[in-house]
Amino acid sequence: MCGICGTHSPGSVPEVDAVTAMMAAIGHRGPDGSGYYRDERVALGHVRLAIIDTAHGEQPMCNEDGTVWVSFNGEIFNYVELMAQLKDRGHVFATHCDTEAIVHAWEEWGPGCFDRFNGQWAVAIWDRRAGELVLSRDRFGVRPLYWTTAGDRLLFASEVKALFTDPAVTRELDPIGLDQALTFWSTVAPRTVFAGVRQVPPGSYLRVRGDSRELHRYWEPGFPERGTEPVQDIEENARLLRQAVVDATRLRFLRSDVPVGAYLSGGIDSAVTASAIAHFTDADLHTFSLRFADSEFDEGHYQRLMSQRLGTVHRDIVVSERDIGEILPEVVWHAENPLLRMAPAPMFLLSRLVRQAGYKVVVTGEGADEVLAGYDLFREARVRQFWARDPGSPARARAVELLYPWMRRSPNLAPAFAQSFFSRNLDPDDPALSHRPRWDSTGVLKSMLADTARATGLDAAAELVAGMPAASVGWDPLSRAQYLEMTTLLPGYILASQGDRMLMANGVEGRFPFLDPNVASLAAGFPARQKLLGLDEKHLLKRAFADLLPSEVVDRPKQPYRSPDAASLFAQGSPDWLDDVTSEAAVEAAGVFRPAVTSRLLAKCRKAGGLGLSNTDNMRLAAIASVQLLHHQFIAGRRTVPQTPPGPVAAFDHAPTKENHERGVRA
Amino acid sequence: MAQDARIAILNELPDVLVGVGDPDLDATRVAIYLEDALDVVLPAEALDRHHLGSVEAITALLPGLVEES
Repeated sequence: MCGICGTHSPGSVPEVDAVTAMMAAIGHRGPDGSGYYRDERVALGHVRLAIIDTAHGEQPMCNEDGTVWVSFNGEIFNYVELMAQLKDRGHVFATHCDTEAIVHAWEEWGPGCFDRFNGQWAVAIWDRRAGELVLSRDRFGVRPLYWTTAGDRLLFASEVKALFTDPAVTRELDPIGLDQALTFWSTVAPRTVFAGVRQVPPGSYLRVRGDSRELHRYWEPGFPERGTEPVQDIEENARLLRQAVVDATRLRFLRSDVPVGAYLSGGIDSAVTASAIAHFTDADLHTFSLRFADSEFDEGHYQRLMSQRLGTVHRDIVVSERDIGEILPEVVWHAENPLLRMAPAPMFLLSRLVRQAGYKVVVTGEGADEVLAGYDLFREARVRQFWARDPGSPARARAVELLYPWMRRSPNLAPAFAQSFFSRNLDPDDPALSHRPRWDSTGVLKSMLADTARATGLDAAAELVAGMPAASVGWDPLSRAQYLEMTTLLPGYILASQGDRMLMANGVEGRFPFLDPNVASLAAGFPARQKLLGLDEKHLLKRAFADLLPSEVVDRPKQPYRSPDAASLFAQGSPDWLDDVTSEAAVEAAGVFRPAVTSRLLAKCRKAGGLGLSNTDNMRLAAIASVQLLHHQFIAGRRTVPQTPPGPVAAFDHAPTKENHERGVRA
Repeated sequence: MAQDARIAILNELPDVLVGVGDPDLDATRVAIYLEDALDVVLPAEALDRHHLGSVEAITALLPGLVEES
């Protein structure tokens, strides 16, 4: 796991200082060293977190004759198998690194290599033979990859902050990106929240040659037509799933030359991956958990239960409201996105614990909720779909009471709640029926925007729905909901703001067995009814691993990961930065929100001590704090960026400069 | 509907019929499962515990589920 950056500069030789400045800005992603390659058109930068073949693996890395150069962030877990295939075809390897497998795989298969990779990556490939720079990203977007332009130059990097080290790059928030973030919780690739900054979409690669730029998609989530699922037997599907998850977990645990730990959240997903390691490898397992001082959010009981059952060496960190509030500026600096919840902040503190314990790789359960239908949103959508077939039916309206036990205990409240929330937009033919309640309730936040920050004439949801694959018409409604989740919240928030960024801020790599292409492809082919059997979320996963998990963990109601929001800024006093960043003058100067609105909300939250506020007010506050911090740190530039890349710095300078000509180039 | 799907659905029904304590709500949950599994819309008069409370009642309501098995 590492960070990458670079420049494609067809009209002039790239500056060394420019690429080393970018490397320095993302040094946290690769504290074990750095390196750059430069020639007359391209510079590739790299900061390294050494995990595989730690003694070698210096990057950027090239092929035998120096015609293909690679700067790579991530892991190709099946590199051993790929190397064997490539050696059979005559390729000669100098290291045991997965990076070198990419170099030769590109030589052998060109862009077809991406289909063969089982991994998580952001990679820049400079093919001197073709004069072509290729920027590629893994299927689900586990690893980030941004690009922008300045004049005739194209700049790319793992994080936006590296692009902003170039004074020619414009720093401005994008109203359309903001609109998307305040609808879907994240922007939708290729857009970002920064004007002019794009991201390579998951499952895609960008080909850059001269002035030409072509974006190609090599993969996207897909599902069988309803009724054509290959295996109908539920026991067989549970068996296939168990085998695939165990294989994917073992691969991610064993393919490392440094120790690998695991997260235990208290839920079923990380319990499954930790159990797969404990039961199907010989290694001692170290586990890490996040706890909360506030018992409303704490899952310590279930974490200890799993740890004791598996006999792991267990560490946890207890996070208070104040901890979250104080770390938020650092969290937003790394997330580079608006946040509608404070939930990424505790994840930052957890990865710091992992790093302090001497670990730099963890296996986690991310992705299970998306590929195996774990979110409440999927259950809600099933119920709404059922109700939408006859909205006037009292029997169908009662179905909302199946969603949450408290509804059955509060018969007077339930119908009112159903009428006001779940009954909105009940159109059975709407491909996004599943997501309308979330998008509508989030979209309310846009009323806080100043006129100058509003995207006029835009219907972000309509645009997203129009871009769904034509084949999705024949999918089960659950599959359509999964597709929307896999292409919005998963890459934009779960894997980014709450995933890669919070891990890599402390130099920790996350590995996600549920996003293994074999697991995801298998899961996509299961009949939808089995994933949510009788509204039981992730039913097949529970069925597959029931014998390895305590029933207390399997049978507990789904507990979404949550943390204190407004309370983190007001319950135990306010952090020092808050007034400076959210004062009426600061809001006016940033020009994103209407100052009168933000002042009223902040006063309300302060008066309440951050407690007892509505879900919407909690989201509003998180949005204001995070966007103001984004503006403060990125647009106004009031954040000091490191100036020196992590050492040692390897230089592969092939540029036709006078100095290089005199001293000869080093390769 | 393919025969293997019909057999699979019949095999899954006992798990779906496990109740939550309110027979009418249980029937609603079964109805959701059946409509999704079979891509049908059940008539309003069938959405109750009498039609959806047991495998026998369901197969009586939906004879096509077993006839070709």
